[in-house]
Amino acid sequence: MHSDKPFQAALELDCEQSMTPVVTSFVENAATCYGLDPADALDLTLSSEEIFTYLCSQGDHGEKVRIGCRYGAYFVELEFQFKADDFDLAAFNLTATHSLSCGEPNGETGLLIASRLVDRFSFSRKGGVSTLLMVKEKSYPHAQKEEAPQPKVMGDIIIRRPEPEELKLFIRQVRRYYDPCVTPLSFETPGKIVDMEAFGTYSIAIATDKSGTTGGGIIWTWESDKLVEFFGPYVLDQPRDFNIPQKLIEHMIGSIARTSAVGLITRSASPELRTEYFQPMGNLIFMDLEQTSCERSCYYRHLQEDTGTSVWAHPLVKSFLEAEYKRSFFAREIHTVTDEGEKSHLKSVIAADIVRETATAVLRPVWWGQDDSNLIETYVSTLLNERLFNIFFEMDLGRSWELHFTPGLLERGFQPRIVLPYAGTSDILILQYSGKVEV
Amino acid sequence: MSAWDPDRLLPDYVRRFEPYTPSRPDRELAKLYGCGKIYRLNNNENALGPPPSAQEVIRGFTPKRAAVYPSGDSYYLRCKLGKKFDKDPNQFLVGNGANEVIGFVIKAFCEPGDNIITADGTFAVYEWTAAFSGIETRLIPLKELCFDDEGMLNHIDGRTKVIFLCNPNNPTGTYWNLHKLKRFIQKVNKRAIIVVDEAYNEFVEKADYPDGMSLIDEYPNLVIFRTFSKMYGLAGLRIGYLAGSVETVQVIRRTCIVYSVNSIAQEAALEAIDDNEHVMKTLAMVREGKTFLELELQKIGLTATSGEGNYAMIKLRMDDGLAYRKLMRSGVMVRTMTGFRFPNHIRVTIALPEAMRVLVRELENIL
Repeated sequence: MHSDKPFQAALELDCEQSMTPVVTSFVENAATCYGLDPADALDLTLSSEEIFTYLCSQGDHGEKVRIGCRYGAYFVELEFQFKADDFDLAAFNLTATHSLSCGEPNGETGLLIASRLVDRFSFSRKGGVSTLLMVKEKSYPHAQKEEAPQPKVMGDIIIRRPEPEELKLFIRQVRRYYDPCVTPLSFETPGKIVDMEAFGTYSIAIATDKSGTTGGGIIWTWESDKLVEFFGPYVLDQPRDFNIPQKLIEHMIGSIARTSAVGLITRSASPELRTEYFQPMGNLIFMDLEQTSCERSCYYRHLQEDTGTSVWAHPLVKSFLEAEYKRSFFAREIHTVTDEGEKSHLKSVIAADIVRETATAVLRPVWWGQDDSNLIETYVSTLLNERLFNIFFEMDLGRSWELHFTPGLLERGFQPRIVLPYAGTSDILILQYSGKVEV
Repeated sequence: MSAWDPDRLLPDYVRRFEPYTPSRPDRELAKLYGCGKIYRLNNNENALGPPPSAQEVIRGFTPKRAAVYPSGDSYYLRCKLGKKFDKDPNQFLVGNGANEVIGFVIKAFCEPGDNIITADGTFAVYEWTAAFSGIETRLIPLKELCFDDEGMLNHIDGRTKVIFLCNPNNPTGTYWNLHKLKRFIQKVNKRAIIVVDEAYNEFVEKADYPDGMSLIDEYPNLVIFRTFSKMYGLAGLRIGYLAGSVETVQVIRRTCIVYSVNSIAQEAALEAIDDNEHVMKTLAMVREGKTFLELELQKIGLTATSGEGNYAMIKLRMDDGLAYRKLMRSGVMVRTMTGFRFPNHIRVTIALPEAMRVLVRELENIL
């Protein structure tokens, strides 16, 4: 439940360079009004200027652009929407340069510059409408490790949603006992977690007793309308026979059991994870901004009965998929895509979802063309230069054309890692870049 | 600028609601999971099928009659129910399965802003029907696997319109006895409609189990649900009904969909309801199956919760979704209990001995 209701402001205008001051004053005013401090509001404003200028350079004069600015308690979201048909989609590859249309290569793009000014950046296309989304988060003070008091042993356990002060205390205690590798990065700023919980981004349950002692907790968030990711469970120095992890896990599962969620995943399981509630789904390697890498096991629980489905596979990943489906017991009819000399597009388009805090970029296909391998290579080198070391590529196995990216991906150092059942129109195959990281 | 987006036209509560995806037909499942035969232990169907007299009606239905509309309000069946339970036929409403009558009640009494009360670990359709009607559901956790009367009473407010009880409860098999039910109805004190879903009432042999039908004249805000899908083996024809006081049923009739129950279902139900021999045979099968299952599960270190009803809930040491998929490889189809908020549990229908033996064998294999 959102206790902090989202609201938004919107502007629709012609894609004309002379309108830039209208855009910037709208964004700056909205961002300030929504609670960003002046420096953060300026970043978002500059980002909007870059995007608008870029759109003006790509589209025909007089095309309409809709700009939305949304309040999100701990962030402000800026959205540009425009008809895909009015623009050359290849221009929205993060790696594309102005040279595509204006003939003045400058080695960088407006999109890339805009992406550096915000915390999250993504491009997507749905039903003929393209969307560029930027998120700028509010600044919060960092917690100090020594602030956390020693937990006490609990009485009878109750699982419930925490009050804000209980939540901040719980986060400080988790930071004291757990490796940062198994907590969300936002645990460094407890105030932000409180805002995220109030806004509904995070759901949190704590194990507590009548006296108010907190003995553990678990946190979950909706990755999409079908997938929920969780962190924990965390136990704060309590006897094992309290079964706190089991109670927290069962509470979380019960909370999402009759929702649209199809799967529950953790990519950063705590040592207290009760694995009998999940099945292992493979490993991912994560690298932080200091380039320290750690391998994390993924655990998954499918929340519904598998009704079985068909998926597409490229011959190069078919054996991987067969092995994964056999191991996880999902019933799948696998159809292979083929290349039989038919006509194909020249240019590929790939959308990027960038999260700078976690040094992560998730790439998704928008359009496949013959230049896919070169485009992937350019993407990898651009993202690594941007210190985005964790590069993933997600392919929807329900869309046959997406599988044509497979040879280019494997050639450029990606490896198939995980299959997420029903996470897209069908299953999603996640490949991770495993090549050299030279910055 | 914008593409066609039907979501835009939806009320917010429908937009948030995810459609239910039913299982694929057995033939498709058998193909996908690579198994020869499917043992359907997922829906609490009656493995003996419909009573012989109802089977005769189904066989005798002449194809030409398919061109004629059925009785729009199941006239003859309501008369028969009236006679059987010594009630006025107008105290009954027949629907396309008991699921449909849940919708009648919610539509009749609730509007956005109102709420219904039920338990967290029970039949999901009360909660779903409320959700896609924009009605809040207050879920009260079960207490020792049973509906919590005090918990429910504490959550009644001025906007509470309907309280749903499942007696015996699906999937735990627990039930309220007559004393507890009457005490609860008295404490609610006509502040809300009380629905007692007795889908499995014919399976209960306990002496203190209340016959809701005998209470509806005493308590005008009480509504009883029954079905022909379970004991009477007519699940494929979709027919169920509700019963209540004449004044309450007349109100619910306003939202009742007429002509939704087909002719074969009405005629088969007319015959089925008198077949006591079929009830006895089914009860014997369920008794035998439960005894076998409890004994065999114990041998492989599993525990089952099997109170009343033709089902048992088994606790596993693994994700029930994974267990479902593994069992399907052998053609054993069970119901996962995550959706009922019993993670790592499955519910199985008590069926014929062969199916019970295969179930135990395959459970042992997947552990």
